[in-house]
Amino acid sequence: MEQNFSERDSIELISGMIKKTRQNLEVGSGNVFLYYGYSSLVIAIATYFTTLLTGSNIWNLLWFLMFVPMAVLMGKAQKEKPDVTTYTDRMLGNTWKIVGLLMILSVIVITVYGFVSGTIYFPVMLPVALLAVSMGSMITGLTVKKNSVTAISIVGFIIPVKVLIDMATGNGYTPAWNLIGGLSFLCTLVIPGHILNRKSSRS
Amino acid sequence: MKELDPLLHSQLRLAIMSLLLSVEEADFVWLKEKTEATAGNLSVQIEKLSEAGYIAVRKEIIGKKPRTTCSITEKGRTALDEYVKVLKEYLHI
Repeated sequence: MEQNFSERDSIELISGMIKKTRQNLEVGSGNVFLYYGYSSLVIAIATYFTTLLTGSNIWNLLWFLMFVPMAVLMGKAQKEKPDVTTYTDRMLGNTWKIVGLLMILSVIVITVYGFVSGTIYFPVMLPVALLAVSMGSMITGLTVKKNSVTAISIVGFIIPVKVLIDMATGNGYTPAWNLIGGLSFLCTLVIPGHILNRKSSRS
Repeated sequence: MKELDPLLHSQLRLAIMSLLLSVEEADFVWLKEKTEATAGNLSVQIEKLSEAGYIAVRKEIIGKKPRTTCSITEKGRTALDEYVKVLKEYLHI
């Protein structure tokens, strides 16, 4: 049934509907951060102990397991789409898509360059990944107006810079880098994930 | 004074347009929940807005379930903008 109504009703209706779409974080918004965050923590600890105990750097390849949650979440996203997509959702989705693409691109560049030069130097992947993820988290914090997420991500950003300085000054790879990487992922993924979930359950 | 766009000057159609104005896209179930309309009525009004080119409707299958997604078009955005301008004239605001 169509119902015509007064001009004043129209204004009130428009205003009421716009209020209903006001950006509230969906419950569980931080879950993606937690999937990646806890996966990276487990991988960091596993890589640290395996490289330390065996003395073989081949165990650094465990970091490739980070692509497992990526594949699982991408498959899940194909099956379940949200009821509504806001401009903020789109912006954040694209930000994290770029972070993911940067990781894949880095692996390709390191591999191709390695075949050309004769040395595949995968340890550089760790600071590159940490820098990309910390920037993604900082953008997320600013976008959802959660300063604590941005602040803790800055701490996570400092760690890969320190790793890069070590690399540039000739302080080579040690198994402890994996733990340092895990600490950075704790700051850029795990803690922000819990902050976002807390915020979303309140809103 | 200009006439109010009759296509928009209807409670449910105006509600749909106002909701879609603030989001990039929304699915049928979300619109139904927000407008508190019946599925049948909502379908009819979506169809009218779509025929006028005010909204774009996409139908797809996600996980074996059909899904209808709506988004406002540039034409719809302009029409709503114009509608609000005329409303302001009517209400002297």
